[in-house]
Amino acid sequence: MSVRPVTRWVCALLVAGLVAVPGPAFTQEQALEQQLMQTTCAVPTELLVRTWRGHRADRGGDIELLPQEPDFVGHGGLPHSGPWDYVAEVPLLLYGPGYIEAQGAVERPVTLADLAPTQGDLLGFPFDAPDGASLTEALVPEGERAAPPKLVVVVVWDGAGRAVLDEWPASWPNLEALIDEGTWYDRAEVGSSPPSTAQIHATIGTGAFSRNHGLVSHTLRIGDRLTDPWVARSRYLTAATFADLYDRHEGNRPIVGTLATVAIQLGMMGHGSLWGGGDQDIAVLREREGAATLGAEGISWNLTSNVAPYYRLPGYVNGLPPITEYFDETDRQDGRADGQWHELHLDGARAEEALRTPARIPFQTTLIEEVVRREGFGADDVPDLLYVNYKLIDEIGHLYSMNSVEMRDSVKAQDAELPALIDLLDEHVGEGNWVLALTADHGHTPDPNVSGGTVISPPAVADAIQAEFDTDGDDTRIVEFTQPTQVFVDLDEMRQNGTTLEEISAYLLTVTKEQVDEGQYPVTPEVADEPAFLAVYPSSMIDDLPCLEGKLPDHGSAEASTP
Amino acid sequence: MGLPPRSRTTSLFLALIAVAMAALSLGACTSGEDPPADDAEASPQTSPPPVTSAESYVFTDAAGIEARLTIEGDGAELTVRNDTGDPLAEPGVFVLDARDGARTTWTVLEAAPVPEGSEMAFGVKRAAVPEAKHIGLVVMLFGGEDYGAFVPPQPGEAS
Repeated sequence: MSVRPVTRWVCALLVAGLVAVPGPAFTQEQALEQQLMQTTCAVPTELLVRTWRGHRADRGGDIELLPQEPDFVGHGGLPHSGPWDYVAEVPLLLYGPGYIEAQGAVERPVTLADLAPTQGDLLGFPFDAPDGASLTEALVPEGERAAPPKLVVVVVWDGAGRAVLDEWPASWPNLEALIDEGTWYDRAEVGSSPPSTAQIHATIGTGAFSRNHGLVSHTLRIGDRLTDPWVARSRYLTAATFADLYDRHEGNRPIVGTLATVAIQLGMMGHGSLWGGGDQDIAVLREREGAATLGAEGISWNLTSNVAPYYRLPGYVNGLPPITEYFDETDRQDGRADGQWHELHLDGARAEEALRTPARIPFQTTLIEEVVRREGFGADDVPDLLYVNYKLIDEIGHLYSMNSVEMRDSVKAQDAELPALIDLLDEHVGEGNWVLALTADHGHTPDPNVSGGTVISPPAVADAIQAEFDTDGDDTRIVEFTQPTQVFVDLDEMRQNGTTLEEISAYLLTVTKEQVDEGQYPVTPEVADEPAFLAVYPSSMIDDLPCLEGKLPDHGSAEASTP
Repeated sequence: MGLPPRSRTTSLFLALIAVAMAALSLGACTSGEDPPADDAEASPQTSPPPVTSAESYVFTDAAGIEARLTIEGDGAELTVRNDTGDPLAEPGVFVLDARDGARTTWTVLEAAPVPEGSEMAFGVKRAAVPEAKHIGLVVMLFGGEDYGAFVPPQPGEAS
């Protein structure tokens, strides 16, 4: 008997017990679609909402992958990609005597899209954020505020989500001490999924989620190509940032700058002179020229040739003390003066290894102080904007996990630097003249040895699809790329093989953990036969899920899913 | 989303098929075929360096697209060169207002797909707002998909 493939997958889901029998009014294709919607709508709504906010049909992948927490998709290091709370929830502190209410914790849920319009309110330049609204309860009433602050500083502790801070509650006493002196959003989250550095920094800058600013992940589709979000400078960020508009409105008199590590963090500031009427804002990074990965760092401050035309790198920054100056104090932070921080060598000959230690934190703070002083941030009455990303916590999360002692000590070292940052702002800008917003762009993934989670291999997922569906014998693969939340599909090749995104999704729902186990953390026999995924569905389906109707602006509107 | 139309497929039929196909389906899921090689990680492709002129916004794409948008009076002209190896869907343009970020679609007149290896010119009808001096970003679309921003005239060069 010949059974159409679509029927096969309808049946497979039924047999697997993943869905209920569909009603009688459906064609087989519709039944399969309904079943995929059924499994997807069983996912907690907040996870779907985050995914919807991060979805763009023209830029994103074609199939969404959602394992059951604490499982995750990852390969060669711990990722931080998915809609789960442990990556989505972040600290958010606003602090600035005279401008920010000293009220401690606020329980209202907020997202990082709210930061840009809050800056607008502070500076008297309203910013109509696509997805955010001003955090007005944090602000001292306008009539009671003095002139706008001379400087607003946004500081991102990269990767220091709430899950990380909650894991090491004794490691951040300085931040904790500031909570009651400012406004702390206890239910802050990034807002969209997947939450990687490029897209969340762009959300901070634009007040928009990926759906509206265009940077959907660290691999995105431009036409038929897969590329990365900053390879074409800021050209793929097709939304305005607060700094773009404010700086131009003020005739480029404000000093605007980013002191960070890699270009994918520049979205929190903006387009620089790529924006019409904009100027070359200050940007100091340490990105390796021509690096194969987005996070590859060099030892010297720089701007890669890719982004250099649109920003300004102050010439003096590499005249500052090198990172080796901070080796001695770092060496002692793990309790032993042995030339190492934990297992990492503090050795001038291996300076790049030292970038994975707390030595990079004072190295960067020295840069911040010098740039603030020499550029005159906050030195006049034209309010300035400074954006900072400290990246150690993220590095450690990838290397050792959020549960590691290295993470404990990294959070401690990052927190220990907070008073120095405040002191330098007080010294160079003046007490009561500045506002600090401190947050993170995502959390980190629990160690599978701690969580018991299964690590699902992206190549194994791709191979499973290939083996099942790519039977036409040519060299073109159905799967172009698999990332932790999505599969990018060559749609022409898929059609040539006579299959659909729905059928591939249904198949993946029947794949077991054992089939796609990553190997580094072997799957236990007890769970080996369990389905690898909680939900798998064509990405465009997120626009039509009945369970999201009425829960999102523009959901179900065709316009909402197009650029 | 409305209810789907009725069909001949019934739930009973599906249930019967389910039982009949169970072994086949699950067998396929756990087949012991050797998987092919890992899907290669997409390596970033570097776009050509920005090329600008005083008159035009220039768009280049590593896939082999070169476009130029020249603002002329109340309108504009868009030329698209396609060396991607495949036809390009019809071009479109939107702009972001440099003052408030508002998005405005400009109409590419008689927009049509651009065949591989060819260059086509299109008239563009601009909205009254924003004026040319208030353009923040010009964004290239093909088939309605966002291909990213044009590189603007550089500071110091009149547009």
